[in-house]
Amino acid sequence: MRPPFYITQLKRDLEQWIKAGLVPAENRDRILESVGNGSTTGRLETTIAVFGAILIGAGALSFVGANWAAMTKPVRLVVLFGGMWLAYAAAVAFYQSGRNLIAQAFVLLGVLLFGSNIWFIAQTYNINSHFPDGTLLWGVGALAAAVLVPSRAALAAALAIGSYWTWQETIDFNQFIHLPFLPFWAVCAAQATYLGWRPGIHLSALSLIMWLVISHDSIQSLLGWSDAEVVSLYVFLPLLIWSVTQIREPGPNGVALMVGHYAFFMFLVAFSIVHLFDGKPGGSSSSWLLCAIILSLLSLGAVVLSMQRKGATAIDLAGTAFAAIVTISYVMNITEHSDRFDIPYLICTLVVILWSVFRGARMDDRFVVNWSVAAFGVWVLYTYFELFSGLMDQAVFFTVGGVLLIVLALALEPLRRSLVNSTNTAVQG
Amino acid sequence: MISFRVLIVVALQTLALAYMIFERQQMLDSARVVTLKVVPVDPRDMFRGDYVVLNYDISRVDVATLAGDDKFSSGETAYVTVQKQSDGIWNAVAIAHKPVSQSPGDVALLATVQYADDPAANASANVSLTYGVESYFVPQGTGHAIEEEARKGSLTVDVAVNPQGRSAIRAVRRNGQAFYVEGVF
Repeated sequence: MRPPFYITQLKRDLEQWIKAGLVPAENRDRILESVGNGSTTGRLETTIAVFGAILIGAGALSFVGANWAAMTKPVRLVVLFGGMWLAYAAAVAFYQSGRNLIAQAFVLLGVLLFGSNIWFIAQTYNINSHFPDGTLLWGVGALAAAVLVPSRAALAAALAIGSYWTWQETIDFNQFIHLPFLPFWAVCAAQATYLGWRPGIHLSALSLIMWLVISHDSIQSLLGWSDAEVVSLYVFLPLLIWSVTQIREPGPNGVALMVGHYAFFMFLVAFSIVHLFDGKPGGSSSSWLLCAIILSLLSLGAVVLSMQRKGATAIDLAGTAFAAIVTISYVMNITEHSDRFDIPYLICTLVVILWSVFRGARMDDRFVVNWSVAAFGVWVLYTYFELFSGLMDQAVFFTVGGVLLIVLALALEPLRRSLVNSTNTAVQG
Repeated sequence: MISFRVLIVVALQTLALAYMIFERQQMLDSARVVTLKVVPVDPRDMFRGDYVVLNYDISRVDVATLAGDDKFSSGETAYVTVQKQSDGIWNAVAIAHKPVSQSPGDVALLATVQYADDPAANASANVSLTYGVESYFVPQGTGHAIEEEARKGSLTVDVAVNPQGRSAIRAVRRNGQAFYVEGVF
């Protein structure tokens, strides 16, 4: 399914094209159906049903909790198991009557009741084990529903529960780099991709980013790298992923595009902040350097491959190489954060931001353009407030920067014209 | 087809929940039962909502006074060997990374180390342990009475131990009389 903003834009464009006689009016609905134009009523129905399922789940929990002491163990078990079975039975009934969206809400209710049953049974039988194991069991049950039914709502629940599980293990129990989360996450992400469900891909990306962030200390301790070396990983890895997603045309469900967007966002943020971190007094480690070079070469290789389908240009190759070289040079030379590197690094950041704007504009990728522009705004503010103590220094810096940008824009204009002309020639041909 | 797929999900989830109950019952059916003395804990912390926190003599041991290993670190597992005393209470006689037996009838309990002193830096090296029997859910409003019993020193807990050393509360006793007994139904 295409993103909602694309379908909205396509609807507007189709009206224009039909008026101009470019597209026959009778093809309008078929074109919209081909890009997965869903009815908003269905979406609203699902949202309301999901809210209803969550409220019923909360109500059931409160009821059982309120009457817990009054119930004998057999009655408790009947209520716990019966409630869960009823939810799934209702789901089957709605599936069979063709009301799949409501059925999804009842699958979600079943998953929520399965989780509450784990805690109530643990309470009834005084099971005091490692409590993240209970969360894992809940997550696996939700994932089973997500894969077997299959259910998007259960998949969302599985991702949320899995993220909570890895949070508990890492933060509450100081688990050293919680690797068991990765296979769980991989199955969730694969299912989201298989279903072509965009919110599922978003949730998968967010949960992986959360895992990376909370695992930062463990990764650092495992690799024995400095702060700057570890943060540079968040430059190289997303740069590689972003480059790889450009090799092929984005598929109809836009999964590669979304993954590329997250990777781009992480790359831009990490590149902008890497100069705030300390390196090692004895210089960078050889393992880091090897890793950085390999990831950089892989990124460049991916850009070369995407140049073959005109998904990238020589400027992108230069931009990728520039970002990689700047990061490697900085981390190799920094021992501790020092002001003397601020101005050179800020200039390099501006170059990377401009390259991002150029790349986003050429690919007609609004996400990349918008975030690059936002990054430029943050860059200006940071430069203004943090860098220069004197107004004269600021004035010189901004004036020179502005002149350079205008010169760059004037230099790019002929390039844009030649691109437009060649495209028009190709269309007419 | 969809009914079949949902049925598989229901069966898997039901089996998981049933296994929790089955495993617990297997532990409670174990022939090996030890009686542990409950020691008072901070009264403000002991009763939390509808469960009581139980602390035992063997929740904190001095490795210098016990047989077995000396060095432990937090998060790792340990086996605490307990031996029956003349008053019917079981006390720790050894702590090690593997189950050890000092004499016939000893029982090794599987524990998780919460905190351990460095034996090189301290004359007495205390190790804090949990056995999975540190909380007990009670009907609302009865927690304070149990707390009072623990403070008087009259509370003991029967713990069933499976062959792997895992523990489960089988009964809670006041002056030797059981007032909570665990069972499936």
